[in-house]
Amino acid sequence: MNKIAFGQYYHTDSFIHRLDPRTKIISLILMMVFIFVIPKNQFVVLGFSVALLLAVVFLTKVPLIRYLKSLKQIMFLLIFSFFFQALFNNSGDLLLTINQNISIANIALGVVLIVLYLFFRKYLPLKFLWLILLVIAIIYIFQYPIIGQSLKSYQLKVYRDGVVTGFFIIVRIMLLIVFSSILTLTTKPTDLNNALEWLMRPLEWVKIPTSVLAMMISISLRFIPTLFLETERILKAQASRGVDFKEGKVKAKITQIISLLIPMFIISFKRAFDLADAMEARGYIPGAKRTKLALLKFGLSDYFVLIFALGIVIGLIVLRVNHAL
Amino acid sequence: MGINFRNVSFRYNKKASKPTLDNITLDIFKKSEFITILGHTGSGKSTLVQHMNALLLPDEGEVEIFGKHITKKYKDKLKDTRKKVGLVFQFPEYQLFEETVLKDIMFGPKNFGLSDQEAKSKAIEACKQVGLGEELWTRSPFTLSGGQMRRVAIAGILASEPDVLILDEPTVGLDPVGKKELLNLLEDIRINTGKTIVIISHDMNVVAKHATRVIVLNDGKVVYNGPKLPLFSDLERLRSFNLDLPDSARIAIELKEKGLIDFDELPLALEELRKHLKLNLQGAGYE
Repeated sequence: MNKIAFGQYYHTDSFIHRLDPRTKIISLILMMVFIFVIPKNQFVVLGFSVALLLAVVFLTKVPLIRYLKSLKQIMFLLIFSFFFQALFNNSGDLLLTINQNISIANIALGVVLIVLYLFFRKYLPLKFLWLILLVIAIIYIFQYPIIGQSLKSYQLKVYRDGVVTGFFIIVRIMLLIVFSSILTLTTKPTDLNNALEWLMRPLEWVKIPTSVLAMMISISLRFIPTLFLETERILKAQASRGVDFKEGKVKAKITQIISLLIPMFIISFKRAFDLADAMEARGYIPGAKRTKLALLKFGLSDYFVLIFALGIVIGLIVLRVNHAL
Repeated sequence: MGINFRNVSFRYNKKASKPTLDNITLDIFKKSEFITILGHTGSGKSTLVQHMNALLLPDEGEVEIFGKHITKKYKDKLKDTRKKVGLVFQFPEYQLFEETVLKDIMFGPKNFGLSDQEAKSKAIEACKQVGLGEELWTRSPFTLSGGQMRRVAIAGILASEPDVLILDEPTVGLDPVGKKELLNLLEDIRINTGKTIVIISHDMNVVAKHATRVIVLNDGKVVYNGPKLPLFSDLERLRSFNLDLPDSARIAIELKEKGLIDFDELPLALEELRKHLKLNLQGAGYE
């Protein structure tokens, strides 16, 4: 039954794991502010934040591959934004000029390369490296008309500012993603939810029922694996009745999906009613003041982390306002 | 022709050291058998039956289902396999979704390529088999009682006319009358159509009364595969499988131990017990 691991939580016993979830959320927000306040060209500050990140990652004792996995998903975005910046930002010193000639043979070769990439993408390890290679190969091909006349020629100019900005964007996004991963990898979903409930408390002043919202979130989290199992069961039951979700025309496809959706709706509603009854039987009243089993408590290390995070953010802002950076 | 397991192993979690099914070799033929699969929770019963219509593919070994060799790498279509081997899941009432009972029962046959007209006649036939009256055919399945819904679900599989009918704990959640009716229905289907029925059950009375063959699973291994009487006669072994005796056999053993009435053969159904008691009591001069 427990083959479905929900969320990313990875259990180790580390300093970061033991921190209060509220501390982790607040520090994450502070670090996001920090990352965006870093001025351009300030490699020292950027280096400092990378070093800080690596230190925290090391402290979590979570295998590095976990963090790399979260980065993998945005590799395309990173590569795209770097090339975009590098090729189209026209300020600063000129670093490199590449002559580009468009001819029919060039276009054809480029298309062939792209098709080959799309076709073999599935089988390639380290996809993004191949994507970088593809872009470079296409730029290289377009330098000279291989066969025939050049239809049109232009120049790609790479400026220093473009490369620097591109680099900053990449590092910033990577920092953001890894910092967020630290939160989700080291905090259980229920703890996260409790912390969010606490952080949303001020909203009660404007009559937003935060405790009810938090209860809804924790119930949803609890039922995701259950509903997942139910879906699997219904899928198999309908497969036994000859549904093949891989084939069929559009009309058959619609019936197939309905044959999954309606039972799932009914099961969800039934579970919801049962749960509501069970909660009421145990005296749950929406919005009433409740005590908690797991009390959140700030410890010494929490204050230390919060003061440190707040300190570096304020320090950086003060430096920027005073034009010291 | 039938379902033949050859050294089948399967694990849900590919990294787990202990497989859910462990080197299973087993034959199920289409010859009007009533097979019950026993075993405590987590012994792999549901996993085993899901291999019988290729919902799960074996990690090792091979399952031959009516001439089709299903191995780990099997990629072809499985529709006709699933037509031949009908599988009714636990709490099958949750798989209903159509507007009317009849339409829901027609869903299977239509998926297996029958026209609306043919599917409808098959559905009506199945309705009659499971005892769903005509007044229910046009009702929404969601307005029926639990027992009726289960009949609709079973009819939905029967309408595709499988050669082997497998039911995963079909009597769970039914009242005693509903339970008895369902089992008699399965028995009738077996006798009238010659289909092989395979059920997973925890109820020893069911096993003792209906089964022609018993398969016991323990930790993913087949530890018993044969007729029911030798199984229930060997108390030591029965206990090692974590299984109970049927009520009638328990009463008989109690009577024997107290030295009241002797039994040559354990009665496995209450009717047998009653007959034996009657004979003995009459012999002793009681009326």
